[in-house]
Formats: sequence, C-alpha cells, structure tokens
Amino acid sequence: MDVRSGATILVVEDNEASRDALSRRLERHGYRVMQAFDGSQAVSVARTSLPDLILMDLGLPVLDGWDATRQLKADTRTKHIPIIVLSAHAMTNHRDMALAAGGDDFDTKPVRFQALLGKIEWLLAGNGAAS
Amino acid sequence: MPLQQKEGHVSSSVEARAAALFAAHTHDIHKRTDRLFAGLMALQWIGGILFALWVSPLAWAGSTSSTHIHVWAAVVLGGLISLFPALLGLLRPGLPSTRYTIATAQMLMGALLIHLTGGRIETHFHVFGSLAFLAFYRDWRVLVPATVVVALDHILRGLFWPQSVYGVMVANQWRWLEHAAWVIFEDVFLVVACLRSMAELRETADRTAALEQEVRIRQQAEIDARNSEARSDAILSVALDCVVLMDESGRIVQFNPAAERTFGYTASEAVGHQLADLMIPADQRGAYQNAMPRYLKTGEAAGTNQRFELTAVRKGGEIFPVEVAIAPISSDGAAMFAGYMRDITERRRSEAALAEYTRDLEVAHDTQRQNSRQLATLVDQLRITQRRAEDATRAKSDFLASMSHELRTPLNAIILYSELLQENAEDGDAKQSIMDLQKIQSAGKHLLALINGILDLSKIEAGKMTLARETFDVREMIDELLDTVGPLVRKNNNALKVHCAGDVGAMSSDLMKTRQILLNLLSNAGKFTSNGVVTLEVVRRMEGAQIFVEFTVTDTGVGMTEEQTQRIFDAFTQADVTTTRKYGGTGLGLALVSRFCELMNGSVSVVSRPDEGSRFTVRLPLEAAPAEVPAVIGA
Repeated sequence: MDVRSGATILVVEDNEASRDALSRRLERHGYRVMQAFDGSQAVSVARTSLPDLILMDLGLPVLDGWDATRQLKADTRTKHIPIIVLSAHAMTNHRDMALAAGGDDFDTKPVRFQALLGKIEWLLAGNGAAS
Repeated sequence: MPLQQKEGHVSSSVEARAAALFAAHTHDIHKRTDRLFAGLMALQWIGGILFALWVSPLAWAGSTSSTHIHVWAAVVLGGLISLFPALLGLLRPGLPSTRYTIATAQMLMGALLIHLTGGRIETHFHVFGSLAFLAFYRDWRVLVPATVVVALDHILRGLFWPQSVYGVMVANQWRWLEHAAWVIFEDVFLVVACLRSMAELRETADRTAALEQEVRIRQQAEIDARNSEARSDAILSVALDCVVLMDESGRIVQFNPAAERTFGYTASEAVGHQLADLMIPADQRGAYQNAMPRYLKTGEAAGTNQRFELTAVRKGGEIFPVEVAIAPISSDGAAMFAGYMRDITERRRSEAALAEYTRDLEVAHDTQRQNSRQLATLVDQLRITQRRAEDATRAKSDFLASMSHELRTPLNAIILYSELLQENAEDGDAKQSIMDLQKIQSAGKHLLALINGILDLSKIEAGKMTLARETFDVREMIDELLDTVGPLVRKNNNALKVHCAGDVGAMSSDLMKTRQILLNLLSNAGKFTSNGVVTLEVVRRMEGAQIFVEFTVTDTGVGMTEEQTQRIFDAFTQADVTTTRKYGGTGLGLALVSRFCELMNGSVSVVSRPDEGSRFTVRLPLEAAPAEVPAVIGA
C-alpha cells in the first residue's frame, strides 16, 4: 500500500471534515500530510516546507485557490511542486480556469479516491507539467 | 416710313389710275370725234356736190351748155379732200395723225366751199363752224394745222385769186391778216375751252380714281372685317373655355358653344339677356351689378385682366364653381367685355379628392407610426420579459450550481469517511460494519450521481452546456469504455458482444459526452438484463449529405411497454415507480442521453417489448458542429 511513503502532500481545504477525512485517507496510504485552511496559509506553508505535491481547494477564505496556485507557480521556490486542484463546482470551466492558473491536474469533489491516488502517483513519478 | 411708303404707293397708283382714266376718256373723245368727222366729211362732200348742182348745174356758152366746172370740182376735189380723212376716221380713229389730217381736210373743204360760192363772204362762217367742230376733240393742237391751212389759203388765194376767196377781183393784200385774226380770235376761245375741258376731264378722272380707290379700300375693309369675324367665330366655336361677349350694359352679345354646353343655354337664348340674370346666382348678382358700373366709371377694377374664382349657375339652377377672367375689348368705340369662364367642378373635385387622399395618407401614416410605437413598446416589453426569463433561468442554474456545491462538500466528507471506515473495518475484519459502510457509501455515490445529473440537465437547459470537440478513434474509445462498463454489464451474468465495423474510423465530436451516452445505455442494459445478452453495434451511416456514426445497444432484458417507451427520455421517469426501488439509478440517465444527443445534433430512439428486451439507437454526426464559445460563469 505504501507505494510512495515519505512523500509529503499539502492538503489545502477550508472544510474541516473534508480536510480531516482526506488527510487521514492519504496518511493511510503512506503519505505525510500537511494542512492549510486558506490560500494565504497554503502559500506560506508551501514556501517554508516545500511539499512534494499540493491538493488545492478553490473556494478558500483570505486568498482563493486560483490566486494561491498562481502565486505558487510564479515563485521559483515552489513552482516545481505539482498542484491538483479540487473543486466542488463540477463545471468544466473551473477545470480550465484551474489549469490556466497553473494547476497540474483537476478533480471534482466528492473525491473519487482511487482515481485521485492514481493522479497523485502519476505526478509524483515526475509527470507534472512543471517538471 | 412704311406708312409713307404705303401712302406714296397708294397715291401714285391713284394717279396712275387717274391718268389711265383720263387717257381712256380723251382717247374715247378723239375716237368719237374722228367718227363724227368721218360722217360729217362724207355729208359735206355729198352736200357740196348737191349745192354745186343746185347753184350752177350747167355752164352756158351760148346755147350749148355743159356740166359746170364747179360741179366737177365739187365731185372731184371734194372727193379728194374728204375720202382719205373720212377713211382714216373710220379705220384709225383716235390717232393724233388722223385728227390732224381731218383738221387739215376740214379746212380745205371750207376753202373749196368758199371757192365754189365765188368767194361769198357768208361761206367763211364755215371756217368758224369747222373750228368749233374741231374743238370737239378738246385738243387745241388740231386748231394749229386748221388755222395754218386757213391762213395759207387766204394768203395764197388773196394774192393770186382774190375773187375765189373774197368774191372781189381786187383785194387788199393784207386782207388775209384780218381773216386770220378773226380765226385766231376764235382759236383763243376754243383753246381756252379745250384746256378747261381737259382740266375738267382730268379732274373727273382724278375723282373717279380716288373714288374707286376708296371703294376698293372699303371693300377690302369689309372683307377684312368679314374674315376677322369668321376667324374669331371659328376660335370661339372651338374654344374649350366659355367665351361670352357682352356690351357695356352687361347684355350678352355673343355666346360660344363651350358656354352653351356649360351653362345649358343656346346662343340664341342667351344673346340679348343680362349676363347676371342668366349666369350668376341670385345672391351674388348684387355684387356683380355693383362691380360693372364701377369698372365703367374708373376703367379699372379688381375683376378685369386677372383670373379669379366664383360661383355660377346653370340653366337648371345647378350652382358650380368657375374660374373667370374678364377683359375689356372695344369695338367701334363702344365698350365691350369678353368674359372667359371655365367650369372647375372637376378640378375642385379632384383637388378635394387629393386633399382627402392626403388626409387619409396622413391618418394612415399616423396609425402606422402609432402601430410602430406600440410594436416597439411590445418588443421592449418582450425583451424585458425575455431578459427576466433568462435571468430566472440563470438564477435557477446558479442556484443549482451553488446548491450542488453545498451538497458536494458534506458529501465529500461522508464518502471519504465511509471509505476510511470501510478500510479500517477491512483491517479489523468487522464484516457487518463493512456491509453497513458499503450502504452509506452507495447511498452517498447515488446522491452524487443524482446531483451530477441534475446539474448537467440544468446546464443544458440554461444553454451553458457546450461541446468540447476533439477527434478520436471510435474503436479506441469503445475499448476504453468497455474496461469501465464491462464489469457492470456482466454483473447479472450477461454476455457482452461488441461489433464495431471496420470503416467507422475516427469521429470529431465531444468525447466525454459520447462516452457518457454509451456508458449510460450499456449500464442500463446490464442493469435491466439478467442471464442475457447485451450487444453494442457501431456502424457508419449516410443520411443525406451527412455521415453519422450509429451506436445500437440491444439487450434481452425486461423491456418496456409502448407507453413506457414514450416517456423514457424524460427526467425522473423510469419505466415505473417500482423500477427505482428494484434496479436503482437516478432516473436521469436516459434524459441526459437524449439531451446530449440533441446537443451534438444527433438523435436517440428506442424499440422495446416487455420481457423481450430493448434496442436503443444513437446517431451522432461524424463531424460535430464547431464548438460554441463557452459562456463565462463566475466562481
């Protein structure tokens, strides 16, 4: 199960239950998880801790997911970190906007966990747009 | 100048005419006198012979006698003298030479007479008588040869044969002078008489010529007047306008055919009547009768030499509008007026019709403008209504979108936690918990499917669903699809058969939606079939100029009634209410299939029989229409 143990994933999610459930499931699958509950925090944590991958919610307080993604991708220290954008808005244009902001992949909530794991593994294997 | 020239011409022609008349008259006198003398000379000759025979028929020489010499002289000499001029007078009368010859001969006859009477002094009166006769010629010049002949005769015979001329043997040699003086004395009176006579003749000729001229002028004037009248009559008779001539008292003098036609009176009825009585309505006669005398007095009036409109009356009493012009004309000093009138009833009528037409047009125009305004208002209202409807749809769509978001967030936690617990339970081998957790998970997933379906339908209805066109290989798409849908179909112990024609190749369309359509149909087929066969067939079809890819999903499952097939593509209408309980599903799958097909310009149809199975046929264009520009939707 612990395919990529040791890899650190930053989960950015303002809904506490979702953040907790997702984090614990990822941890069960061997990932180290860091958490941030708004975009601004996500940016600072990412800059200081430099996680291997970021799961980014879009509707966030303080700084929303698009701006956070844009800032991270504009920063030389963090721009290599793959970002999977997650949105409860299942609109196609959210996908386009997320990718335009610099996201490497997009998925809708509720998360289809197995599919998400596949994407995470794919990106951690060095297939991200930023690599 | 031209007038003088004409006068000069007229007077010279009168003079020429006078001269001609005078010449003709004098010539006539000369001729008549020539003939008179011809007769006279013949008579004289015969008379002379008879006189000679009577005075001394025989010459006695003793007892023998012979015809007296005088008789022979009377016959021969008288004949010699008389015959030639008498012939001239008959054959060539009027010539000057004839009368000079006659004058000479007449005087010679006088001389012969004096000689034959032995110089008898009384016969000298013949000379005076002859001169008087010669004066008949009114030509004093004939007296010249006559006088010369008398004088020479007296001179010569006085010298050589005085007895022959004076009746004495010896005569004073100057006696001829006394005779000649008497002759000349008479000549003086005769010459004066001739000259006077000629002057009178000339005067008469002049007067005659002048008279003739005057007569001619009058005749010409009369002809001219007649012609002019005929001309004006002709003009008046064909004139389209009524022309009425009236005298200064307003009495009609002339009434042309146009006036007859217009007013209904014949010319003979109208002429002699007061114009006002016949042709002017009673209530306006006063004004007219006031205006006419004013015009006569001042010579000017508002009514003359300009056009104006007033009302006139016909014989039958009908009142009608006329256009009138009155012009004064003078005829032989008497004031007359020509009234030109035109019936303008028709013109008034067409003017009125035109005015009415214009008014109608304006009304129509106004109505049209009003209609346009109303239409514009209506369009505005419609636009507002449409905008409201659009706003409402958008609000509904936005509401659904945010509701979806709000539902998803807790659902996300529910599913994640249930999966987490399930994993934990599997680790701890708590089988009952696993089953319960699976039910939570299943319910959560169903709820998610429902939310997704509602959202998709809402997007389609709001026009926000767009096509993402890409080119893909149909065969590959199906192979991938079967990986996902295969287990679902085979779940109820069904066989899955796929026939994909070799020529299907690639299609250019929305891959996700195409896949969704087939996924829905195949999973449905698997769901409603047990121990049966589900078949997917893919072929190319031409329909008109368009190429379609036709997907047919056939099952051997429960099937549907005719009534059920008719509602199968509506949302939340599965075959019947028990279906959902028995088979699950959101009730949106086929509704989405139908909407997606429409969106892609394709179609879906179904043939089904209860307990025999169903066949769904989907046709999608090989080339989907170009993708529309996606509407921007806020977060």
